[in-house]
Amino acid sequence: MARYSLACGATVTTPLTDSSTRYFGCRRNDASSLANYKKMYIGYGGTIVAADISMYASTTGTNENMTMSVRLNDTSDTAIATVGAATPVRRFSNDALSIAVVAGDYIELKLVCPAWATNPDNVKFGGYVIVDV
Amino acid sequence: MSYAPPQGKGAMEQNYFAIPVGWEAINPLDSTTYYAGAPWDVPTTTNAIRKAYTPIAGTILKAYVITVASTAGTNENISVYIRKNDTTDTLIATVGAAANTRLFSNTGLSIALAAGDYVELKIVCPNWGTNPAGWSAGGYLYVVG
Repeated sequence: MARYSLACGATVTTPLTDSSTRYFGCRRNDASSLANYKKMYIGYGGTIVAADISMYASTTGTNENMTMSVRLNDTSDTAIATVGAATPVRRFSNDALSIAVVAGDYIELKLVCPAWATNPDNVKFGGYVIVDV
Repeated sequence: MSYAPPQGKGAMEQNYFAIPVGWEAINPLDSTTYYAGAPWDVPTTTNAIRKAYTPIAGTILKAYVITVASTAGTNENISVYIRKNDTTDTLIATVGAAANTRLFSNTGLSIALAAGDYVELKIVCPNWGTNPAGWSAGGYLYVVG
C-alpha cells in the first residue's frame, strides 16, 4: 500500500453567515457558497481514509454545530466531523473514512453552518485529506 | 485500522503522507517570534492558534519549507522550528542569506506524533539590517505513519 495527502484550505472568509454552506479546496481563495469552483482532482485512485482540517476564527463566535464533509464529484457527502465549540481553533478530524475514489474524480470540502447567536468572522481553513492507494 | 508499514517493503511502499504548512505574506518585524501552520493565514505572534493536526500517528522524518520575500532583506540568521503540542521545539534549519528565496529543510528529523497531536512552525526572526518584506512560505512535513 502507498499513501499520499492532498492539501486544502481557504483564505479569509468574512463572515460565516447563518445557515450558509461553504465550499473550499486546493485553490487559494475564500470558502465560497458555490460548489464546483474549488475542485481537488484525484490523480491516483484509492480510498480516502482520513481528513484533518483546522479552522481559525479571530472572532470566535458561539458554539452551535458546524458539519464538515468531503463532497465527491459534487454528488455525495461524507461527514468528517460535526463541531460545536466557541473556540478560536476548531478541528474537523476523522481517521476512519472510507471513500473510494478513482483517478479523475474530484472532491471539495463542504461546511454546513448553523444559525449562530454570534457568527465567526475572519475565518481561515487549512488541512489535508489522506488517500491510500 | 492498522497503519503499520508493510514489513520488508521498499521505501515507496511505506505509508507516507505530508502535512502542508505555510503562511501568507507579511513584513516581519525585528526580533519577533511568529507561529504558522495549517490555516491559510498570516503568521501570528500568538502560539497555538495555527495548529496543524495529524489524524494518524507517525513520525515526521523530513521538512521542507520554502520562503519567498519580495524584498530579500539582509543576511541575519532566521531559525524555523517545528513546535509540537505547543511544548517541544525541534529545529528545522537556521538560514542566514540575503536572498529572496530561503529554504528551511531538514531530512534528519525524528519527531514522533500520536493521533491528535498538532504542530506549528515557530519562526524566530533576528534584528535585521534591512527587513524582508512580502514574505510568505509554503512547505510540507513528511510523515511516515
